[in-house]
Amino acid sequence: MISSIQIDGYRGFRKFEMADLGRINLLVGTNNCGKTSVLEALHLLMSRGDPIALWQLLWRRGERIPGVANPRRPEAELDVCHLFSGHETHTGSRLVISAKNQSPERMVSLTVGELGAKDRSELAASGEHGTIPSRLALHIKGTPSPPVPTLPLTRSGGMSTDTLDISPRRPRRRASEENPSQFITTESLDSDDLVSLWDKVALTPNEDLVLRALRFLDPDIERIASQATTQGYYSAFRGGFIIKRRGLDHPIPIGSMGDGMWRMMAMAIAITQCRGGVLLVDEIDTGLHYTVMSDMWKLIFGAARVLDVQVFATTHSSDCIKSLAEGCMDDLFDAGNQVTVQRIEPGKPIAVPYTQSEIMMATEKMIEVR
Amino acid sequence: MAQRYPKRLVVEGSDDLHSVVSLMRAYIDWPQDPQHWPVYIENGLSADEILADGFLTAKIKAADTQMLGVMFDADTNPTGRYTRFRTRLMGLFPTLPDVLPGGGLIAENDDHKRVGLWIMPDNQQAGDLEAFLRLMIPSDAEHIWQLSMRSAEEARRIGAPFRDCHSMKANIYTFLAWHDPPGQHPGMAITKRALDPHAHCAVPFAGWFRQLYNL
Repeated sequence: MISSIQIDGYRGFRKFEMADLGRINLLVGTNNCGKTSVLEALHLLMSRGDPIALWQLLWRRGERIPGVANPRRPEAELDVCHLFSGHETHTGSRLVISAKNQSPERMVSLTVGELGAKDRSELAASGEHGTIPSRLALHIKGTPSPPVPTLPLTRSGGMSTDTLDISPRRPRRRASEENPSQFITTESLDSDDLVSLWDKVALTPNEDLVLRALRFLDPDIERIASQATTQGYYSAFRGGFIIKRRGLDHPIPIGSMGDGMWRMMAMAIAITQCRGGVLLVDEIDTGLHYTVMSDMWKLIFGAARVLDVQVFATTHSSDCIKSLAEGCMDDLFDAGNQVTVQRIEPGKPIAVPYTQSEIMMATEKMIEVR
Repeated sequence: MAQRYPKRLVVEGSDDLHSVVSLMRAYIDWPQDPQHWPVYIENGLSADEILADGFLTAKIKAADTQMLGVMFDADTNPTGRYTRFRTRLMGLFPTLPDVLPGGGLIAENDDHKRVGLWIMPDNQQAGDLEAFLRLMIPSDAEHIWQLSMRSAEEARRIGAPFRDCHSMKANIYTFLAWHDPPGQHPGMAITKRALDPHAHCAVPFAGWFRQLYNL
């Protein structure tokens, strides 16, 4: 488990540390304080700087380069400058993310530098690139070794799908064989992602975990299945899954069941697929009524312990913090400091960590932690 | 947006709260409207609750808290209570002294958060708020105080049920029962000068308070 993370030069963080981490870590703080950036940094760290993870982060934030030359593929170039503090890229721009007290220690760094002569000649020789590469590249280093050590940048300082060999809208991240990371954004996972994760869950003992998660919201759900046809049309929708509900002869699409159901299913499926790694959830309370939040924590914590997953989630909701505190009070999470709340404050180099007893006390005595 | 209070004081009971307000009114500008008080004062927790694991650290970690003062009674064990206070806060304030200074504690950490502690009556002796209030009795009322003590003692002898540990409290309230108007609470007694806010014991307290909160 990661006990502390250092972020230097990533987005709003020139130098930042979050320490005293537990198995479940709830990140709080005002808007724009960098909660999501911390999740992204963890995702980059755990995916070893995988360019596809990088692409997804930039894509999700809409950080495209305006007015790119090729009008037929306007989405094909994303601006890496936003990854760096100050939103600027030049030779030497660098960000480093590292996790302390983890054995072996984990680190990833992204540095803008000259593209080596060898890489340039290879790129020129391949001749497949619609976007003209510049002399600059992102050099990715880390422990364990990154899957792609050098990523050529375009003349606009962008990442191009040409150099990634991916489809711009639906890049698939390479399955990381060790310490995987699943990042659930506020939009949750989309149906393609979920179906492909579900394929690894169906008919395994983890299937039960997903069913239990859905039953917190609707006790009448009996079975869940993915539909065979999920490509293309379903991508943008909450399709791909049907459920059998007690008392109904016909299966119904899960998309009919509301945001919370989709969210809960995404979390339950995702956590089964990051054994030994991290689950990252942006605004974990999204779509969930406060009455189901303690069930949600119970599920997350139980699965996290069994699967050895470390969870990082963000929230603005006091109900979400309260339900976590109530879980602590009911001894849901066992003794010891398994749960922390971390408050991130704009401009502050260190997150303010709350221990389990502080979380409980704050809830009991109505002390604000956000 | 909820109002934010960077300066906070945690005390045990409402007598503590009103005594502090009335005493400090003799030294600094202190508006009537609690919303405009220079320090937000919270009461209603016992010393044991204040010293419970997680309370003080959660209070000081709150984003809007810059200065946190704490005031509670020594009762029978001033040293033990300070040791518990110190243990709770050592992680956030590594430089807390081994022994509570006689003039009250004020400590600041690298995060520019400030914590203060005053243990009633004087950071040294066993006792409580009432022991502090006793020291505020003007010398020209000393003979009434002596009679209050003897009366309370006599009442106890013939069956008044108050406990031994509350003798000082009984004495003070007996004393206050004979003022004009009778039976005012300690805060009002300070305002009406039945208790002297510039008494020998009160001056260091006011000094501690003003320094802690930059007032």
